[in-house]
Amino acid sequence: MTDVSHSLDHLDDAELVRLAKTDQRAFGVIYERYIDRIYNYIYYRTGNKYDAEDLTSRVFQRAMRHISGYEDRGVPFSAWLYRIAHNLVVNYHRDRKRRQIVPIEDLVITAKSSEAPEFVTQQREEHEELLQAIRNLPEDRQQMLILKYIERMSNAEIGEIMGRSEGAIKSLYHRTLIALRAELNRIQKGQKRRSDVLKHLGFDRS
Amino acid sequence: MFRKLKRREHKEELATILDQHAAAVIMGGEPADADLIDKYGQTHPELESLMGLTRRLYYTLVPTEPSEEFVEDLRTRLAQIQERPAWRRRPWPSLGYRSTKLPQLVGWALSLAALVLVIFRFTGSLILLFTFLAGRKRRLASA
Repeated sequence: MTDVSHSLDHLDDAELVRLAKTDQRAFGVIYERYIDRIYNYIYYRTGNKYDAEDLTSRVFQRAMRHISGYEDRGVPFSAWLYRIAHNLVVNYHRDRKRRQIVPIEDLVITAKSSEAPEFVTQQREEHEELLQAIRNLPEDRQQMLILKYIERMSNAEIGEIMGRSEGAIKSLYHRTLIALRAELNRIQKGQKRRSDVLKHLGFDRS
Repeated sequence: MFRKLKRREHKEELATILDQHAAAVIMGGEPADADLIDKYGQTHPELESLMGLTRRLYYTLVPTEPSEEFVEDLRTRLAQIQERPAWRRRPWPSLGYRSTKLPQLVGWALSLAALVLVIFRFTGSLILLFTFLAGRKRRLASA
């Protein structure tokens, strides 16, 4: 980045956005500030890195095209970017009519390399099961979980982005946990039924 | 009415406990789950499993990073678009759509070919049937 961009680094979002309407370097700083966050958000909503890259490109292209018309309405600028990302993800699921699974090898596994392979495999399966359950939740709940756990946002910040009160986010989190637990039970029952059938047919894996 | 209010308070209490627990877990703290269960487990039997779920979410939903190559490539493309005059700033085609376009076209072509074959087959069968019936009629007439 150039020296001029460095001098823009310390500006807050509102000032940067005001400048970005006429100065392309300011948009560059916005890009550096949000690329990881938007990518993460889309990655967990789509489930694969190729679509995440494609949609992330579109978010920034769209933001660049429309930033001249952006009006500060008292909500953070990030809410505007997340709104663009959210709309693109919704269109993606609607148009493609598919919900892909995060490839197991792409998952970040927190297990140490010294841990037993069976433990790592089991942990992977548990991660995958949970991700599958998350993807079966309604979109607002998925969005809330990503903002809470990936972006580490407070309820107030999530509320600003999702257009809800802090208390509403707290209740939404509670309802989401209950729904997620039910979804996990449903998935586990399905898996048990499948393994019972396999056992019955003589394909016992154990 | 009173019971309804009580139930709402009960729910709100659980929501608050879970929210505070999640905030502590996310901040990297180690909230004493056992203490919370001791304190609220009687009134909220589901607390333990929901706190366990919070921990699972924390270990599963971990931040990832886009590749440096992608970030650099997108930065360059955005800069190129900004340098163009406004009337030339058209959106680039989606990679995802591009990757599915060819298989989609092949699928359409094969479906069309199959449909044409079915129509030919059906027409052929009809012609054969009519020929057979006409021949039979002629044979009967001559007999």
